[in-house]
Amino acid sequence: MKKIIYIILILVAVSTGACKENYLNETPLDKFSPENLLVNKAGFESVIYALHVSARDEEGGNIPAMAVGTDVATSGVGDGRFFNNYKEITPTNGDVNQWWDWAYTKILKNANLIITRAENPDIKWTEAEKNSIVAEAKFFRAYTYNVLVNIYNGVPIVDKEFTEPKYDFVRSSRLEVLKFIESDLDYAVLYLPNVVTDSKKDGRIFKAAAYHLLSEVCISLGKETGTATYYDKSIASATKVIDGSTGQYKLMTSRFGNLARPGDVFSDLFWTGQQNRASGNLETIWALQYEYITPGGGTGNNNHDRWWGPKFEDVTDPTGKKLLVCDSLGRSQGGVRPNNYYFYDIWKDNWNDMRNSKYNIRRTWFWNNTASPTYLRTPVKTVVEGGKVYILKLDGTKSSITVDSVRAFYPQIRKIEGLMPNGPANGRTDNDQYRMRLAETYLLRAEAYFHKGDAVLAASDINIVRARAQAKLVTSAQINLDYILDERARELTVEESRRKTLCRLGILVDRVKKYNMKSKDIEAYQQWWPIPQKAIDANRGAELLQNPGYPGAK
Amino acid sequence: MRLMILMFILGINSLLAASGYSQSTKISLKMADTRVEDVLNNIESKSEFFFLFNQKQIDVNRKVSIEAKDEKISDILDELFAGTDVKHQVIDRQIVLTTTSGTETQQQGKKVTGKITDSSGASLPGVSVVVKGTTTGVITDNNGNYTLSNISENATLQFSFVGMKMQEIIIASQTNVNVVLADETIGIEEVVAIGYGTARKKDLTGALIRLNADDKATLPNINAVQTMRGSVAGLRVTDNGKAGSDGSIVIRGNRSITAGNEPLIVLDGIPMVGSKLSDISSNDIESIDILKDASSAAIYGSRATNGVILVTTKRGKNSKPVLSYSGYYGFSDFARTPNLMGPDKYLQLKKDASVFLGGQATPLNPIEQEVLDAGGASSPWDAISQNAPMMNHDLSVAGKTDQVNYYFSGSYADQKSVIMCDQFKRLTLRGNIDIKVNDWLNIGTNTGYTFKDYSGIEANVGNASIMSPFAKYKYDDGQPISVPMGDVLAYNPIFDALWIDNYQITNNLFSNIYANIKLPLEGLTYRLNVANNLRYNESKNFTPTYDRDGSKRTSFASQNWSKGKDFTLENILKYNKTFNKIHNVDATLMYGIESTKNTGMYRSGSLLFSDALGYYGVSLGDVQTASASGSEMKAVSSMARAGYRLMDRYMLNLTIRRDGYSAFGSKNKYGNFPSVGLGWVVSEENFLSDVKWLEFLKLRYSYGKNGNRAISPYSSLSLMDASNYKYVFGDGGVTSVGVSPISMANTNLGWESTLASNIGMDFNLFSGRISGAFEYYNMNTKDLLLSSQIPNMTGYATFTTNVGSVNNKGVEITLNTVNVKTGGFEWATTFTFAKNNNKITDLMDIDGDGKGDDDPSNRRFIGKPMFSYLDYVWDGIWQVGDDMTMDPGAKPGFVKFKDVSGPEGVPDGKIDPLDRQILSSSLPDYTAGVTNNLSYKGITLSVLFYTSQGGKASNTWINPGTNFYARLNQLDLPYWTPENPLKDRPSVGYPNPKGYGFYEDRSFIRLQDLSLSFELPKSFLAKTKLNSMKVFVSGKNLATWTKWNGWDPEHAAGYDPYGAASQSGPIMKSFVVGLNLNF
Repeated sequence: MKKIIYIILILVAVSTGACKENYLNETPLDKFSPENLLVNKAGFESVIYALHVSARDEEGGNIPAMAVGTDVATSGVGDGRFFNNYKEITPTNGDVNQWWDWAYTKILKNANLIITRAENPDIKWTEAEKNSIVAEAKFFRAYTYNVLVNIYNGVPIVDKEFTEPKYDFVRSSRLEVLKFIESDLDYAVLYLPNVVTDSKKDGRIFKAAAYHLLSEVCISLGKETGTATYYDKSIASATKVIDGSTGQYKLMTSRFGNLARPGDVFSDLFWTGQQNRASGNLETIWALQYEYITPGGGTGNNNHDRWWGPKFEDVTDPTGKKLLVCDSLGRSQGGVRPNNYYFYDIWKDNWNDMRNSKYNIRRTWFWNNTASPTYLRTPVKTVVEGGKVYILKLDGTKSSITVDSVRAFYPQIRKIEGLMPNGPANGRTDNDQYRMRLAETYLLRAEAYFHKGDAVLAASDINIVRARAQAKLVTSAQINLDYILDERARELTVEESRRKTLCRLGILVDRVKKYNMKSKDIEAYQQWWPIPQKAIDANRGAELLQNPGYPGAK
Repeated sequence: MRLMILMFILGINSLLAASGYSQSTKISLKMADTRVEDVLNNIESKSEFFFLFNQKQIDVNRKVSIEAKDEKISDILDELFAGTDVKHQVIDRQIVLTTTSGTETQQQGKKVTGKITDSSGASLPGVSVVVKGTTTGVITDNNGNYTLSNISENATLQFSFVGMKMQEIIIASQTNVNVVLADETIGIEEVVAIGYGTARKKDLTGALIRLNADDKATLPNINAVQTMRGSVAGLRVTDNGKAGSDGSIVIRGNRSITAGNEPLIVLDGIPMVGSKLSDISSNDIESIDILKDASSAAIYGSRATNGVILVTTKRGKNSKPVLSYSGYYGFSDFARTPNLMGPDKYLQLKKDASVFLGGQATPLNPIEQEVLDAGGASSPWDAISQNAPMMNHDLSVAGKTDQVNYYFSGSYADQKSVIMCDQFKRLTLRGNIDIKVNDWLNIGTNTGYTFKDYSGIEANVGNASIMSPFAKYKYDDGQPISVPMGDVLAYNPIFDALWIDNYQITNNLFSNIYANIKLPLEGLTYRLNVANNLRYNESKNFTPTYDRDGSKRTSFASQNWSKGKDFTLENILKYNKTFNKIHNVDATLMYGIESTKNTGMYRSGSLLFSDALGYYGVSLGDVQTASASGSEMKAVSSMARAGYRLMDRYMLNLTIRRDGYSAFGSKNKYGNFPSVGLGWVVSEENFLSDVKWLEFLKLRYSYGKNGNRAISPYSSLSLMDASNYKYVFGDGGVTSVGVSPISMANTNLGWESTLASNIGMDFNLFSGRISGAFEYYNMNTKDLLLSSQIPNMTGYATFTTNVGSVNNKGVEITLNTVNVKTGGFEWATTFTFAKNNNKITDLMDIDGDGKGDDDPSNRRFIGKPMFSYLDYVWDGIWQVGDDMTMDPGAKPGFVKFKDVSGPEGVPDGKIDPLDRQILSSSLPDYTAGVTNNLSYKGITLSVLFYTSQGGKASNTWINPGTNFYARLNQLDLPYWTPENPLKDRPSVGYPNPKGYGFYEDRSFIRLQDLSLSFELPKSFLAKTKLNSMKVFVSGKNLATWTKWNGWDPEHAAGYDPYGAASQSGPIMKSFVVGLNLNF
């Protein structure tokens, strides 16, 4: 029997042998933690990559809400969605949540993680490496606050990593947020590198991007404070980009890229694979990167074709045969419908502007259904009678078929077109998307000159852009804010965050009333989006004030 | 590590008590010139044997001399009684001494003879036959015969035998009384599993319910979870309708808000970590014991908060091997599907949508027009259906000898649900062996292997639920059409089912090996459990190239392998002894460790240059990805349990368990879980001895603490994910791997614990005609492992912490009645009822006033049940001409909400978030099940109705406007139009600007189980080799009565036809015919 007891003792000893002091301690096997990742430059760089991913996710597949519901575009859908009815923009609205969540949980979290942890003295990196990493993080932080402050007005400033929950956020003023952005950019322009032509670095953030953004933010600061020196700073910042001191940038003036494709230089800027410097395009300051089917390439996530083009598949020829989805057209849905302001008003003085060429706006559609040989390859023609748009037959007589010219049949901006490796029915391309392009830098500097009162230099900058488009040059007498906005529309529609531009100038409501085809009853308070209700609800330690006019506002 | 507690356990070990004792026990004796009685006493003291005999038959004063060295008992007895007519029979530890005559010496009065048999007809030696109220009696002989003389006519004979129900028979004029004794497998003498041991049900102090698998053997329950559904008061099983799926189980209401409410499942003593109930063949299960209250469950400490389900697999019962076959074959169909608009209503919907949109055309898509023109129309439910046969075959051999108890089985199940490509195949093999090596060592194993095959991508019921009646799903050549109604919002629900080659299997080897050692101190045993559960899963996919009508799919192959290993090691010491015949002590000590490690590898390739190799072509792709995953969990546990029982009348149970778990924060890894239980068998008291109709009455009380650790490994750490943040700089560039934090660390993260009390009553009245249990419980769960919504300005939308508390109070009634029992006809009813009141009692204190605060963004409100909705209050529909100034966005046909409040706390003439009120919860008010069993001469009809009443859930599916009314199909429900100004339904395109939830009642009544079986008479089988044969037909989920307009009201999931929740779609009804054979 003693033997048995020995056996038991041995077994017990064996079983306890496994129970060392640290038996229950955890080390994740397949996940990083900030402690084991953020120890060197490579670790921090991986968080920078995550910032780029998140920057690409700004719209998150949602409608381009920075363009729709403004002066340049409304939505083709028949109901109140997508800013057709601003009353549907409530504190629980999906877009309202999307931009807030994107800013705070994707960009600012990672930017602040880098900025906070970079101060850890144990990290193995050089001062220069640290500075350039922090500079890129601060650029993203500044970029994001500039989005927030121009759609929600003043928001809580979060400037560090949180390792425990916080419930008492309060909103900072618009001026405080703008100054915060300015200080981040002042840092970023010191330590970001000058641009280089290196296909591995296309898409990265260079010094010019920070100057470009600083140029815009200083205009906002000038408007907010009434201090003219901000316009000087804006001009100086833009000049750093334009004059080559941050690396060579220039407007493309002759055709490049795929020359076999019919087109002009403006259309070359937007064709698949022609946004990056490696393709010869020296106009790009920052482009979001897409890549077919490669992991991390975001394939099939460039939704612009789908949102901006007409839902032409609903157009029916006089024999009842539809226009068909095909490789060259994709499959757009009329979610964002440019207003007549864009299609007609801004070109009427100079219809031959290159940006209005057939390579850049598709104004003629051709029947393409082989089941309808009579109409095949002939242009789609319509006539308006009694408020309805009727399809015309070949002989010019009216058919009984009407078409929705708000959603299904309107000109198509060809910036959105490109190769469709995911299939035309998918309605999406893998084109890289401009965030910042040199043409806008000129227009920002022109705007700063204008605000400063120098119409001559303003006109001169605008004319650099117009000259490339082979448009009539403008005189200083013609320069006013509307002209600058028209020029921005001609040059930048689709690329531009139009809502942000109008909001930073405080003229969203006026412009929407004037040019938007649907949202004419927008009210003054609707210049700002509401603060998401869930943020107000969760912030239980302090009151996060709702914007005036919205439910729950004081 | 703190000092290791030596694990010496005291107590009866049920397995030790198994057969084989007499064969292996050897005794040494040396006695000269001694009375037989002293020899017998000596043997009793040296062994566990005890003797049964009648002193009037056996001459115990006879002097003998005997010497034996390590001899078997039978040899000793042969020697002892050599030359007499005394026969001995050894039944386990019980030795019956009889004489061949078996008669009394005194021949006075009436003489009664008879034979005692068991239910199978085998004779029973050693049965005690006593004249009630006297000491007169005999023991039956080898052949089960007895003779009693000198008996008065008004005497009552009592027949009793261990493990059998006692019977009393009044003699009257009879001279021959043959008795069939019934096994005491049900009722209060029943031995049940209690975790780390067994106990008589009558000794329990907690709330424990046993389900005997036999009772459900004629139902098509491929998964054992279906066995429990509707049959146990306070246990709610939700079926999601998928073939081979495990459903979900909640015992006594939801305690945890976010950390899981699934009970712990323990298979043959070992907690199931990575495997599931679907890994066990229902036919291998002997019994399922459900521990509902804190004191029963407390021995499983940190995981017991949600209750414990102990599954015991079968063992051999008869010395003769029994070969059993059981099988069934049948079909399934949708039990219930939401009604979609048919052709006429769909066309009308298009017209009404056009009117709502101000005349904008809402044409049919070309493909719809084509189908309409061809005169076709179809139901999407038909489109996603397949023939759904199901079958199950089980074969087992079981038996026992003195040394070995064995049970071997194999089963094969093959089931298709009616949803296309939803199928399940399962192969199980099981071997349970117990070996008595010698008189101090038992070893054994419970080992099961399971192969499950879930291959195939099932049709997407969510996509089907928005499909036009004029959709066309396949080209004439049989290839699927990507967008069958011409709208990309409505992807083909059967595209993936037909186009993707999917292989998905799991392998599970669950093996528990134990050794049981009897220690030198009487009543003290040691047990070692070593359990390994190995899991190996594979999932492979291949999507061939597809490029048709503008829809394109590039070829894609993937292979995913994952492995898991769960290891458990337990040292158990038990002590059980009865002192002075009235004090029983039962103690258990346990120390153990547990670990789980999961690893996986995934690889994929896209743009394969050839489709010929399917998913084996994964390396042919132009674009390759690979990833690995791994996680590890560890736990350390120690436990002590002590039970004391006085005169089988008063019981006290104490347990304490200490658990450590790796996933908790570094400052909070350990938790302690004590409990106490009290029992009082009132019916044993003298003052109730006159109450004849009261057979048994026990009162119970228990109080204890349990834990919940249902969080995944690394939950307390700040983690960074590297899988979803990849980016490609430059055209044709390589992937840069980005990393982003995904969670905030919490070093204080610890146990969620439940303090619960239970008051219970067990009763058995009128000789078992009415029996049952009544339970009242009150459970306070605190330190909830709560993933709570925090301001996402911190970068994180949620944070896991210990905060808040939940109370669950409830009653449970189980009532078994034998309503009619006459002439072979029996009608028995089992009624179960459970009502649970769930209430959140505390949440995080945010404003620092010392009280918790409501958390509206997560729908959590103090004083209200979980899953309560905060929303506007429905006040009808705006009609043409109404004054709508309170809701400026409204139009006629929009939902009108009540102006309940404003900034001043009173109605302010404006509909804004202040008007939101806490509406109902989606939890049911009560559930009840009624099973009626009618049997007559081998024919048994069993019918189970189950109902769940109360609870409202959001179902935005019933609002067309939320769901692309102008483009997709809708539920067939009326809607407001100017011509049809309904007062209870909004207009067709109501855009729901305030995100109103549209609430519906989830109540339902279901005819859940129906079974008719016929057991062939023994006489019929006499000429065959069969011992028994049963045929049956049965059905499941045959009818459901409800007002719910979504998927099944039981899970109420899938109201969002685009969401993942739609995968919990329709549940199935099934019919089978089956056969059980025993050889």
